[in-house]
Amino acid sequence: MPDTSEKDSFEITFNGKHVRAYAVDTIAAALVRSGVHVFSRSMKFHRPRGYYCGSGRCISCVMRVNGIPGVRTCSTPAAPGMVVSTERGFPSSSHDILSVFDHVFRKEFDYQHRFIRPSFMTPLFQMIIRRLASSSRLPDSEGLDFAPFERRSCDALIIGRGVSGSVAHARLQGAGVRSLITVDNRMGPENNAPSTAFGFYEDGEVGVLSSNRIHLIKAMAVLIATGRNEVGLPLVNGDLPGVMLPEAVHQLALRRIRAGNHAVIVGMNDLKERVERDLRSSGASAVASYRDPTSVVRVLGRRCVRGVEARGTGGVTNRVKCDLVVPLGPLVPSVELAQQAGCELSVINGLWCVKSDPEGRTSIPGIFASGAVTGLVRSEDRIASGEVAASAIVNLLGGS
Amino acid sequence: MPTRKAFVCLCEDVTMEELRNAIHRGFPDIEEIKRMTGIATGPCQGKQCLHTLRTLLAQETGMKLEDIPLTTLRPPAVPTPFGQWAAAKKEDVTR
Repeated sequence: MPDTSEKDSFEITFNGKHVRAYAVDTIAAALVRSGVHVFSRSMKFHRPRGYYCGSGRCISCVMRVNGIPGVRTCSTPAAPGMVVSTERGFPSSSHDILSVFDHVFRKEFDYQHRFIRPSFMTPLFQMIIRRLASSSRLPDSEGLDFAPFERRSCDALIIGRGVSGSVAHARLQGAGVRSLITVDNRMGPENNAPSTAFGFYEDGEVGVLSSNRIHLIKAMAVLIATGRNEVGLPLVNGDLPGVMLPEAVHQLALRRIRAGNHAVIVGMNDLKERVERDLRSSGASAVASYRDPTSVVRVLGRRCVRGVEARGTGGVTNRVKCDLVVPLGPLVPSVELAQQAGCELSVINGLWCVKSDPEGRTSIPGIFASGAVTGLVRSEDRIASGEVAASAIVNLLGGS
Repeated sequence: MPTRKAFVCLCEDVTMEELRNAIHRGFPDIEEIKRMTGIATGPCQGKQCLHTLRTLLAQETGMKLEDIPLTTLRPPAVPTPFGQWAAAKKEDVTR
């Protein structure tokens, strides 16, 4: 358990107000702890958005931090004296009069068919729409320090630090593979010195962003162990602050922060047990659980979750009070990097996965895949696949 | 009070309704829907929305889920600062 004693605490500034933070906190965690619900406003409708995915995938927590726009606060550690402010909304994200768009366009805002006539007005309309949708000002010029690309080569590059990636890392280290680099495939809150693979480029070079520098890494063998993405459910008003994916609840629980007092769980996936454990350990209670997401008619609340309206047996709707909704959507293999690399994909249970042979080889020579991204679900299988792929990589390197 | 909207894509604010309309206007193809609605073009690059869109397409058109492809996912898969690319030396980008 991280230490949250007073001596480790400090202050950061959020929209001009002081907020207490602890050494273990990400910016977003400190804000949730101090009761902030609205983190941003959505692009078209200016609806309030809060801490949502907790894993650097969505953009609901993006703010301006120390003069830099577009910073994911869920993945950025809090530091003493940080100046944090919300980006979108007039006069502020917390009270945004532009949310009138949400009421004017009640169902959708389709920019293929709206504001295109008369055609001579289109440039003006576009300018206004861009202005309203843009989130932020340019960065303050001081504090910007970007280094040129760095080209590197190595024997083995592992992308992903999950179950199978970690196993493969240990196995390759044990086999004496010296030039071994392991990076993430996302900006994670646990990722304090982030080095994140963001793309495959020509000649199999992998772009990795680490501490404000882009590295282009050419590896003899690449292991794609990018795991799965948590995906939300398209619930009505399921974008309200207080709807949080399991990883967000987990990251808060790790820091002894209660995501909410009364939680409703919607849907079903492998993470349900962990969500229940996180809720218990942080002192929250699960007031209801709906296995079938279609039984949830809508999420209630104005600026944050106040409850859920659900259809019970016999079609009777009832309302349950809560301040947290945890959607358990499908866990979707994170195939973006494999697809960029040109690896063949295949569908398992409706989900696109990386196709690999029993040794973990993909259709591209020198690129291997293991773990959940290949469609494996049980953790034993994922561990085994990491070991097998690592052995295949050792063979490849030994033979070259 | 927010109006009743069910979002598939949080980055670009694309609702279920908008996607259904796009499909029924004659665009039952994932790449066409992407271009029409902007879904999967935001900072998450489809990580949160593509599967839901595929499921919806399967429901609305009767296609099988395994016959619905992903959109082309191009780098960068994770947002990188523009400054990084601007800092590249000439030999880094033209080879």
